Amino acid sequence: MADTSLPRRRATSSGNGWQNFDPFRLIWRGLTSVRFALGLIGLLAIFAALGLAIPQLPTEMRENPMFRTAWFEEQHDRFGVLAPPMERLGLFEVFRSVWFVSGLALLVASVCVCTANRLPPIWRNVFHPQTRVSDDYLTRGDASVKFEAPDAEPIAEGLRKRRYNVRTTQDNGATYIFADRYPWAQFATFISHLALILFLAGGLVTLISAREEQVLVAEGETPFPVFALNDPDHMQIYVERAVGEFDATGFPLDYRTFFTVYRDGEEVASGVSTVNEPLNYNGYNFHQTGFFPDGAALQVRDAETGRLVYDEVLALINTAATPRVVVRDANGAVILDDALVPTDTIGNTWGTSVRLGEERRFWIGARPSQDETGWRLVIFEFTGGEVPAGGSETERVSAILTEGEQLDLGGMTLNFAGMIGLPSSNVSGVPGLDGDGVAELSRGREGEVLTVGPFGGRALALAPGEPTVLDGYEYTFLGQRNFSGITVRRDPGAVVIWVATGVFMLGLALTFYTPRRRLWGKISAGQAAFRGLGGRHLAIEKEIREVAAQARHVDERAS
Amino acid sequence: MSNDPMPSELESRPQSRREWSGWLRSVVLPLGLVVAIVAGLLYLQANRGGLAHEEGIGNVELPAGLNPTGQTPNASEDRAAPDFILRAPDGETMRLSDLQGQPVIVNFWATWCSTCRAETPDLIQAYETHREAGLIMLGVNLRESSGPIETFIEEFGLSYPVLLDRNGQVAAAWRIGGPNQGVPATYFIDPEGVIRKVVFGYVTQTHMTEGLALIMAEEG
Repeated sequence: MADTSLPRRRATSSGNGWQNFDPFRLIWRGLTSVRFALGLIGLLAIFAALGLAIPQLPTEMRENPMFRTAWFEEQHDRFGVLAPPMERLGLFEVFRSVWFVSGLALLVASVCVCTANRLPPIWRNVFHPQTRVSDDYLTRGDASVKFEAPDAEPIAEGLRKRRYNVRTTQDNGATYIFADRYPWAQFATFISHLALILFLAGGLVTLISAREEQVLVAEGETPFPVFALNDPDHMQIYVERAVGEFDATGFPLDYRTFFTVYRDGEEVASGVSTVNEPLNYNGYNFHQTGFFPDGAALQVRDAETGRLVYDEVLALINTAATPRVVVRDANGAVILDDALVPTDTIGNTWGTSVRLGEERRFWIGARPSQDETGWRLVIFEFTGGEVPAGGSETERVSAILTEGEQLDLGGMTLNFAGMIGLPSSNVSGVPGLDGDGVAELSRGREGEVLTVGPFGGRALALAPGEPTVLDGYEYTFLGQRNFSGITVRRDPGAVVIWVATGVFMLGLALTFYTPRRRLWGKISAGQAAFRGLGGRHLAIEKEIREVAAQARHVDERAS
Repeated sequence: MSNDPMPSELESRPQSRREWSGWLRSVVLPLGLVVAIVAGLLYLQANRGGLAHEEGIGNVELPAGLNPTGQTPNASEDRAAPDFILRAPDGETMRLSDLQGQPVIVNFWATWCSTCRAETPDLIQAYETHREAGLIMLGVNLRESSGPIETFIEEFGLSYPVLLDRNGQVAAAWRIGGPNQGVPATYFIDPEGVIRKVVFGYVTQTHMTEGLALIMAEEG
């Protein structure tokens, strides 16, 4: 005898009054409510939209109190009186705020409780289905399919051929049929829900434990630290070579960095990282996220002992306006075409001395015009080895040119081609430097020159590999260095998200490609009545009639 | 027979299929499962990829007879210096407490630390000046590999011993590398093993003079 009993329905309420108040049941009701879940998703969507619309505190600034304060001060200027309450509400850190993470956790809880709660009834449907229904249900309304059927077995066989699991029972001369196809497809719902849980759990794991640090490392220099010294994952990156490839227009084609990762004194990883193919170690991805060609390696030694006293790669991250000057001889041949990096000042003009031809020396500098309409090139010609002294500038100066203007120097023409930007940076701590100074890298016809100063009011112009001794120190520009921007990132949640994506696709595939269908039927006195679930009625009816037709065909052949 | 059972799907909408199975199964169990999954993931992440550490190297207990303060060793002024055994690049080991009886400067540094590089010439000079008077200086490198360290020693002409804190264990005990206490960090320790001065950051000439006065004065 088949099990014809209904699943026992449990009470959803157990009484009234505070005596029967059960907080867990209240929580359960909320967590299993679809409305509650939809409301929560809606709220989270609104907060996420706020997080996208309002500037968020960058990750790299979060850990640094100084940067953090500076960033918030900027927002105070921007949002005025609204900024303090916004800050208190966490609107500048929406995705890390307690309430957003709590909302997400609540959603995970809701999905989990719902899913766990649906498991028992669906389990019963799959493994202990209701195999017999009432005659009334079978014959009632348009949903019922009736036809002549002298024998139940050909119909059962026909259903089996259509991948149904068929169970037949006899009762009072009637044959009852229950046919079930792809019963386990019901678990597709769970798989999809599991995917949703994994998506949310992945997001939570990312929020809690994802780490990221961006470093700018010069090639060939001492390994650069990643994460604080007291961090268990403290590492160092040694960049052997940073390569940037550009097309003729300067458009970047590819960046790649050859580097080694050290941890606790041991080499733990080595390889190449590109923008799309990071190096992996211990769950961390080392992404190439930047390339910066304007580094200058500067070494300073004690001239007497030869000991190293300064060894840095200067990151020339700023741009200094520098005059470009073109000088031609009487035949029109170019004898100078260079950016003149200033090494000292005369009055309020920064400039440098230039030798033109065999005997003539000039001091050429640039300054903004007084009416702020552009730049002026100021030219003094040395007389008797000195720049003319005394008197006003207009009495001493040889010429003042505007941008594009040309000057006849007697056998030579000098053209002020305009101002160009050269890589530069403020520097400090260089032995011998007058306090803080400036370093500037120019690339002229004679190669690269690093200009650093002031040292006693003047700057040093250093060619690569050519040491210059000044006041007891030996200064050497070792050459230009590329910097590689590397982002070190670990996001354990990403793996969970990928798994969730796979699980979700599996759930979808099961839902769409393994449609569950159940049929109940009764065959008695040469008449059959069927009714089914799973899909549209017309499709169910069509399938039942096809099975019946095939059964008749079998009967006819048998007879 | 209209009282015969009917498929349950026809009886109710999906959202009303909720079944209260008791607070343990309906609420605590599913939530506990998720908490366990997330905690497991976090635990796996937190415990992955650790490198093996050498036994017997790192922090060691300071023998009671070598602690004149009566307080537990602590890397702060007027407390006994926490003891350690560390290896030098050549593989030899050195124990801090073995140096009692002489003034010691312990300088924590790293090759990537520009301030460390900047102060190194001054440290060398101070050491060269006072080594005849018994000053011992130890440069404890933090968590770096041999290559850059050897280059650093050679280029700067480091004349004082360098020790290797490979896993940062000693630095952690000495509270180096926190958000406000990164390298360099320098400790002036008197001949009795008591820290007399601590300098976080660049050791200026003033720091050096003050520190040396505190530890060298007690030498005799």
